[in-house]
Amino acid sequence: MMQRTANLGGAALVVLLGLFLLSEARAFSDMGALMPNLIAGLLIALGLGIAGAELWRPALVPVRRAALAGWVRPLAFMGLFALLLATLPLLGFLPAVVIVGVAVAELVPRTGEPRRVSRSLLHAGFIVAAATCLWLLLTAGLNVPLPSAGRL
Amino acid sequence: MEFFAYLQEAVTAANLTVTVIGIVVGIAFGAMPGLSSTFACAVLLPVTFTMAPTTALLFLGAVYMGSTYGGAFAAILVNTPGTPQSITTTFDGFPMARRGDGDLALTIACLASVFGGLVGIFAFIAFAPPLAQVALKFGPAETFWLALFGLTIIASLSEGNVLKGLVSGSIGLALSMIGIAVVSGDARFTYESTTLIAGIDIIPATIGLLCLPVLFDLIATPDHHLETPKGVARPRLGEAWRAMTGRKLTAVRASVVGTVIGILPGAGGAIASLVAYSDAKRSAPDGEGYGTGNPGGIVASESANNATVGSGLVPTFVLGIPGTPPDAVILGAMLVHGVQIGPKLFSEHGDVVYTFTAGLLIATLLMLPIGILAGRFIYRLVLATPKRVLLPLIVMLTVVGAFAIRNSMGDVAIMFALGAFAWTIGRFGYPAAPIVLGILLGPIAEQGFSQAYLVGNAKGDLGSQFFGGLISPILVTLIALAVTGPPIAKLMRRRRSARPVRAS
Repeated sequence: MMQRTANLGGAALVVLLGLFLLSEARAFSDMGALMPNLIAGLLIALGLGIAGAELWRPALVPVRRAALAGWVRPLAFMGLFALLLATLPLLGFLPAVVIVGVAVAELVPRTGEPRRVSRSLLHAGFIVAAATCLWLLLTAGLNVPLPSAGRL
Repeated sequence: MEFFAYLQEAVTAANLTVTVIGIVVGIAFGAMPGLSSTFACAVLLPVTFTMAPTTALLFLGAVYMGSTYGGAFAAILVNTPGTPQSITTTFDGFPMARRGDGDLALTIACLASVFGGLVGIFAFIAFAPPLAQVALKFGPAETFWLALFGLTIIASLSEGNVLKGLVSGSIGLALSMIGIAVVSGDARFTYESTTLIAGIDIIPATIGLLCLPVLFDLIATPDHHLETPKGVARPRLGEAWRAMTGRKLTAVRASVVGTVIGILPGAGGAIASLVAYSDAKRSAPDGEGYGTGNPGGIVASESANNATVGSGLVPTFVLGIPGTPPDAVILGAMLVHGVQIGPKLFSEHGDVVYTFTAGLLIATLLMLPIGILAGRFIYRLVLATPKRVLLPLIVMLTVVGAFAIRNSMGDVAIMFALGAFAWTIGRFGYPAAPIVLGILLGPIAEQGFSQAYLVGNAKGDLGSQFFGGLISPILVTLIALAVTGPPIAKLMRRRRSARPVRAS
């Protein structure tokens, strides 16, 4: 993919977002639609500006492709975060963050050293201890509300 | 001389103990991403019910001061502003930490916080009644222009790709429209979702947009979270002092900006630090390095946000209008303790007010040793924690910060969605910081604009409503300079460098 294609695609999405805001704003009162219309106009103008600047520029620079790992691990992390969102109302704060936290720790790439079960267990122990201390500090010490089981 | 009597009252063993505890607890709250100063003061308000009025106010003042500074810890070490006031601290603080200067950045933040805090308190002591009159001169139009002035920082943040920065800012403004419109009452972009009806809160948005993309990037590589400094991490006080004294003018200007903006009800430390950062970047000779780890950015941001603590008390005490959200909690505490707010406050409860102010002064000075010690401890802790333990811990803190502000799982979902969005668009060159600014300033700008528009329309004179008086034209001129200044300066620099050098 060339940088030009990426920028033109991005500009098209920005213009589409502006058009979407304009169409949605038709349902609002005059006063309520004022700012969304202004922002929509701004987005459309900026999208066209990016597209114009891209077409005017002669050089075609290939986009630096990230290594596959550069996408896979973050996407897997996002998947774990989504799992956390799903489990928090079911299990409550402490069990959910411990389960997902241990999984996140396993996802972190290692700096050359071989995978050792003992090290993984040690890190998991740290995570459980830290999560428990945080939970105790926040609930008992500082009275901060946390997600609890059975609550959406 | 009378003030020294109040100072003596503020340093009694009980008051001093409560002040130290307040600072430490405040720093702990502020250092956790998402737990704002307002939240800290509100959560700890019941603790003060059994205290004497002066002691209670001292405790809350110390918590406020400590949490405002504590916001810099998370901003510098994990790129997540602990409080919205510290958004601009991330711009230079995190790059400094990444290159191994986190200890220096934390000490500079502490020195700047103390300096700004002192300026704000002295302004309160010396000029409270006349400064309160400034607050009354700020109507809806002036508030609108001020918010717009804050938005001009987007242009200066996006050098290199201004158009993409402006797109991000506009997306932030669009996101700020979600929920019930402040003036018209329309339910906009809510799609019958109870979470969206409440709008997008700045705290989950900030955590999602600034912190999560860093986490997503960190998991992709085996590199360390922060570069380990050469030798043992230490406060580097001498170096930080030189960085501060080398930027005296930046610190003074930022503190004055913070003091003035803190007086304006509703504006708060976030706008103050934005305007001060933007001003510092434009005026500093090394302004081009801002955003890449320039200590001047931390000096400007932290001086300004801490200056609002003292100056925000001006409208709170003199007019009964909270200058910043935590001031509203302090106002509530005063009412609980039977201290009536209003014009007679200084004559009827002068002892409480002046002892509180003297205590705040002591708290600011105490923040220097406590802040430096806490900074050293937390920095070492973050450096010593393996990435495989640190990342899950940060994930836990992001959930706590996003959830606690409104007890809503919807906010946690919004944080995650915005984080994934920011990470994705970041790969195509669209920065996330302007989105945060758009969400922060959008409602303030819209409310000011709508109210001024309605009043101007009713009077049949929109022109004088928006451009009349003394303050609006000044702000409009500043906005014009802020928008046109950087490209003109860039053009002039380019022409100067292109000019052939004459051989001597």
